[in-house]
Amino acid sequence: MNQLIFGRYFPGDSFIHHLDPRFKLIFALIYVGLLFFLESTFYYLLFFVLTLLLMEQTGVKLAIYVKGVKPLIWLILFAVTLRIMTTSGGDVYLRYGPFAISSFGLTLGLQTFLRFVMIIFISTVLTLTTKPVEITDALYFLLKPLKYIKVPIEDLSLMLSIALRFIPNLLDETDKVMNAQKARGMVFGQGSLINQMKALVPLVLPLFQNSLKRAEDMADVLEVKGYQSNQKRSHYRELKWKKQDVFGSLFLLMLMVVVFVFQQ
Amino acid sequence: MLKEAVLTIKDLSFRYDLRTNDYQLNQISLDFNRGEWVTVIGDNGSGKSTLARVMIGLYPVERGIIQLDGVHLSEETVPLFRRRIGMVFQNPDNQFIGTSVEDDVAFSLENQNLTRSDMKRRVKEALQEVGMWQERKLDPQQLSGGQKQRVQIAGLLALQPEIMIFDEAFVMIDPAARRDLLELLHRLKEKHHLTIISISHEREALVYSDRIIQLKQGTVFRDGSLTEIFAADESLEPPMVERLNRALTARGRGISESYLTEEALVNFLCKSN
Repeated sequence: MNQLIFGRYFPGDSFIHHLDPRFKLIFALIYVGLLFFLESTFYYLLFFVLTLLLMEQTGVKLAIYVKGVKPLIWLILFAVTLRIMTTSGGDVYLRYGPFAISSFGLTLGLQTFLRFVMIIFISTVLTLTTKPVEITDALYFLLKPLKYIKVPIEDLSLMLSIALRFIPNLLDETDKVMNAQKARGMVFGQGSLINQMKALVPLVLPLFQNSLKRAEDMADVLEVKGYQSNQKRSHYRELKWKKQDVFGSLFLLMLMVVVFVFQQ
Repeated sequence: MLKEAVLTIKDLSFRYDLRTNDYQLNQISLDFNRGEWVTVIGDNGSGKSTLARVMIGLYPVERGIIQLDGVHLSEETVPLFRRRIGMVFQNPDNQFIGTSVEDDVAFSLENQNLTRSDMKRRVKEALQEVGMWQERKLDPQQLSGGQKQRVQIAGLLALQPEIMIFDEAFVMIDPAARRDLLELLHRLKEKHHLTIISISHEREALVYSDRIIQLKQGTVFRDGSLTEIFAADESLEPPMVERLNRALTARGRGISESYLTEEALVNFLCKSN
């Protein structure tokens, strides 16, 4: 359970670690958006190299990023295969009914694969180098205008912050409950799909029970600490837009020019 | 010193299920005096935690009155009560909202809409008082049970309350850390003239109490000093200092009630020799 990489923060001292979370969030969103406007394999490869350079800059080992892709590899391969089989054009190497493997299909398949991997890598760069609470602060800042149309941004950002704060607890607890059930003779991950699903019941029930108890405790703590929905609150943590964020923004602008001007 | 009631409870009754006549608190009347350390004891289900939660407005008052310096507890006055009464719960892991020690201490202050400079000053002072300033950047998960409760106390101190309620807050920590925590609370109580209401089974916690209230089936069964309570009920196992006091009294050498902490007891015994 503790093998999950996506959503985890790795403390570090890299240039990316020190960037403002608001910038990192905007960068990740626009970067992912740009990937959908890439047209040729050359640009895909260019962005892939750029993504690798960004990953290298974080100081986190490549193996950790690869670990982040592993849980989604079947989904990616399924999408890539579908793309290859359903695209026709160029030289056709193999045909079976409505499906075909063509040079266009293979090119699009490679592009789809690279796009998926880059989306995962760049989101992982964001989460590995940004504390969950900083992501929440950035989201709060960026969504603040929605306050004017009565969207409860304070409540949503607190909910997100508490949820992120309890992820490690939940993972640890899952490990403990699994071990406790294994000690009672429970076997996980073996047998038919139905049996495997049945085996999850004694794991999920205590987890739900504990989570509900924790939520109840947390509600009491929030009340006692004076939290009220829709109240005016000040903020202890301060987000500071620094010189490196300006440089980062210029770099992002340059990428947009490359995609929307040079690529044409 | 003249006793001045800061929190007054009159004829308080409470039941979880309004359809039944099963009252968890039944016509309780109590005064909590300024600067007093009161420990509430009683069997499981005697109403100790329910009383604490009603006092801070987590459960509504069905019958009776709760007054804080003359102000009645009601839906409108709950925020005032929560600014002046702080509470620490049993499980230290379920009380952290912030992802770092200082963020957690600042949370209550953010709810008061204080300025950033004011918050920074108060957070620093509170963490220094509980000896956790060095650990301010740490993730609460990295702290021991005792340290976690220290941070919760800092969170209360930052709000500058008059009353602190501890609901079984010393249970999930090891004995050495518990003793340190109680010593710290004792010092803070003296320094800030705080009223401490401790719901506790821990015998070490009783030693610091000026007064003990024993609840039984939702009513006040006994209300008195440590010596009075333990003298009245043989079934209660008193703290070590009280047992020693009794043994010495039996031999004509009793200790006065002011010698109840371990340190004071050692001093007394050393002087006696």
